[in-house]
Amino acid sequence: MFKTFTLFLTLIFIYSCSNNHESNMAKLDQTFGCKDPHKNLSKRKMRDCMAKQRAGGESMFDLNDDFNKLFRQDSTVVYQNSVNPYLWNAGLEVTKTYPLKIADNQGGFIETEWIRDSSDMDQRCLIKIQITSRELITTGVKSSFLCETKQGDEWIADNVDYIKEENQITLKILDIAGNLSKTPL
Amino acid sequence: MKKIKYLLSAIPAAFFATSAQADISVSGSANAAYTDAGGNASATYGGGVSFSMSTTTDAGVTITGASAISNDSDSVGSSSGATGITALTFGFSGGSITIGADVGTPDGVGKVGELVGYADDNQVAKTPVVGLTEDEGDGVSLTTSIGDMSLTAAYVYDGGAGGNVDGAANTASGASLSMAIGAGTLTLATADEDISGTNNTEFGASYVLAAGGGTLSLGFTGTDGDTAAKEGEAVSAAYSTSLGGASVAIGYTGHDANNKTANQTDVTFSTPLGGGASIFAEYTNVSGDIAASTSTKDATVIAIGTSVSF
Repeated sequence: MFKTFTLFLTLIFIYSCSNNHESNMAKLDQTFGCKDPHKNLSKRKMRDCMAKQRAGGESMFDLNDDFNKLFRQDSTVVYQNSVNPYLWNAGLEVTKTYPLKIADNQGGFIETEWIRDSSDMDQRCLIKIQITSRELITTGVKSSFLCETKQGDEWIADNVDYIKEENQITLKILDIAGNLSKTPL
Repeated sequence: MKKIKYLLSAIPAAFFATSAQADISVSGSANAAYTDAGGNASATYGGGVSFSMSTTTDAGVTITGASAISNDSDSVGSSSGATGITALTFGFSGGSITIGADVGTPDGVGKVGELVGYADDNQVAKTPVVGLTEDEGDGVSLTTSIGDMSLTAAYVYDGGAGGNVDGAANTASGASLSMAIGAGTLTLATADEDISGTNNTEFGASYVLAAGGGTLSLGFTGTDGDTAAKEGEAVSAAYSTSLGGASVAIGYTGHDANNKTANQTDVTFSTPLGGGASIFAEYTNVSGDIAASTSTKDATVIAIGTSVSF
């Protein structure tokens, strides 16, 4: 039975080698939090996860950061970010001229406040950036661009696809991240 | 536009390649809780620090091992311990494989309404309990994605944690699949256990969706096999939401097995205090076919406590 099971797993694994895995796991994290059925957390890990979830994602002493500082002097050992630091810093760089509503480096999520142009006060847009990978890969970042128009006193989504703008943002982030990776953080 | 998409996917990761490096991740938590079961009050304390060490091979495979210093926190007689690295996880671009101890099959997926983590410590037992009970041990598990579906499969070759690959008395296996359907996420799971020749199979399903500003979870569990008290169905539901920064959840699970029924209702509340600290409260009640209350255990239990993440 064990051999059959191993063969079954291997076939599935080979078949499924795709780049969707990290983004799929990120979605499940968002839906289930600590109780993600695919995380298979031990009892101890579940307690740590629940404590952090209850605290709104914050940590008291930030041990990860302390270890990062401790090992910074040794270039071969660094602290493991939950998202790729080059992509994260590149995301911040791209949005640095706008006020940020959310900048969650654990979840890898950046969202700007509404951006308005003085020449057209009846339209406003915002940028959302999601870093989905710990690795510096081209599919490790997703950008979305949302706009609303003012109708009377109400802001209504304009339902326009800004695919070109979103790809430009993503490409810019990848470009900056590539350059950052060539220099120490 | 298609060209841009094509170019994006075609840029090789090697373009951004970095040298292999070792990583150390540290996390931990501490907690204290007061539990009251029908007038019997008790306190539990615990916590621990986990170290996760990983390295990346030249081929891009991430290998991770974890160890910990811990103090069990959900029993009055807390037990302390330190564990070495007992499992290795190999991470690939398409998923990960874990080999070692503490591998578990995906059981309990359908019991979405069982929410409490502390208040059930001094609660009387339900007579019918649908689902598997012991499914962890030495084994191998795989998590991967097929398109937009996430798949986890696990095989526990020695439930006694003795490292016996082909002759252990206790074995288990299972698989779970999650996918987006409609407005929510559907998870299907199956798990089998063989404990010294006593076989049971569990099927679980859950559907989780956003509703009314919160999250609604619906679940079903069915068990078939040699143990009469487990053989039956359980239906479960939970609703969680945020109220002024606090998280509130209510859950219900009904067990029906071997012509006996039992119901469990859980309510949880937690709110962050800032700086990684939070306070929580839990209430749980069981009714129907349950064990009699004792001087230390009761059908209704409440717990209040605090936890810190660091």
